Amino acid sequence: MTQARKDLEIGFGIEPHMYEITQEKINNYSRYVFHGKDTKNIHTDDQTARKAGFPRTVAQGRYPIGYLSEVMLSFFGMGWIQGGKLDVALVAPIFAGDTITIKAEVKDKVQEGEVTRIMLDVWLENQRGERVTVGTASGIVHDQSSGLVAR
Amino acid sequence: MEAKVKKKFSYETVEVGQELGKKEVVITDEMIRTCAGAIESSHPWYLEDSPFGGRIAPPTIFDNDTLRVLDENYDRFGSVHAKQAWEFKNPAKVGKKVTLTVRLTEKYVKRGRGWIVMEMVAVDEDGLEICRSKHTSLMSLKGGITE
Repeated sequence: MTQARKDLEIGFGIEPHMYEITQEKINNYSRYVFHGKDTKNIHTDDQTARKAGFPRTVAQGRYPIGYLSEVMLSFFGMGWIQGGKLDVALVAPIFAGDTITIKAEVKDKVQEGEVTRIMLDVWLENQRGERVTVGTASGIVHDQSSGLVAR
Repeated sequence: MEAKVKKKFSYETVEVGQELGKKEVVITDEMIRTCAGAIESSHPWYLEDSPFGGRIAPPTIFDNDTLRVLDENYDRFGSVHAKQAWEFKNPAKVGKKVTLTVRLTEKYVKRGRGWIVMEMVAVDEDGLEICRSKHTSLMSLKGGITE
């Protein structure tokens, strides 16, 4: 995967990352949230989801944000852990059985002292091309000479 | 010990500005593996070693505990995660104790429905800020725990 660099041009798109959102993965995330317990809620139970007005079970909002952070980690490396920023709106539900693709495009580069902040538009698309999560992310690229301080 | 009485989770009853609470979390190997597994990550910094000296946790690892602090205060049933912001400042290293401070910072009505904003700051035992987050939720839903 391409690594964040100062010379990436505005409009550069990072490689899309695709994830299948299966019911099993949603259940697994729910067990993670509830410390290993199986629970019945709009994520894990169709009937509960329908009562809440959804056609079927929906993925937890922050579950795909975890994927997005992983993609940013691959792109920015240490500059995500020390300096990463993410700001997204979850504009449409992600349903069990959907396939989401994470996309990002360089929109700006800002000098911050000895480092450069690369700013991206980021979004998650479902299999119909609808944007379900939209926002911005940014991370730090260090000048060759400045290096990183790993504390 | 007497159980804490939870407040009703409604637009009228949530109190903005108050510190909801602090939560101490020790980053364990199990936590890292479970969190990484839930997001299908086998990143070597989580599972083997990192340039920061030792394994680190996925940066979004404190989201669960942030919501737990809200749930310790309010009888929350049915809310929708609508927006999320993160600032990552330093790695959460395995073995470190991290203190999360959670506040309700805003509530507002939009399109006739109530929304709340919750902010969290995570600081490790050395006083190093790890991250901060801002979590916006739509308060009402017909039924079901959503987050």
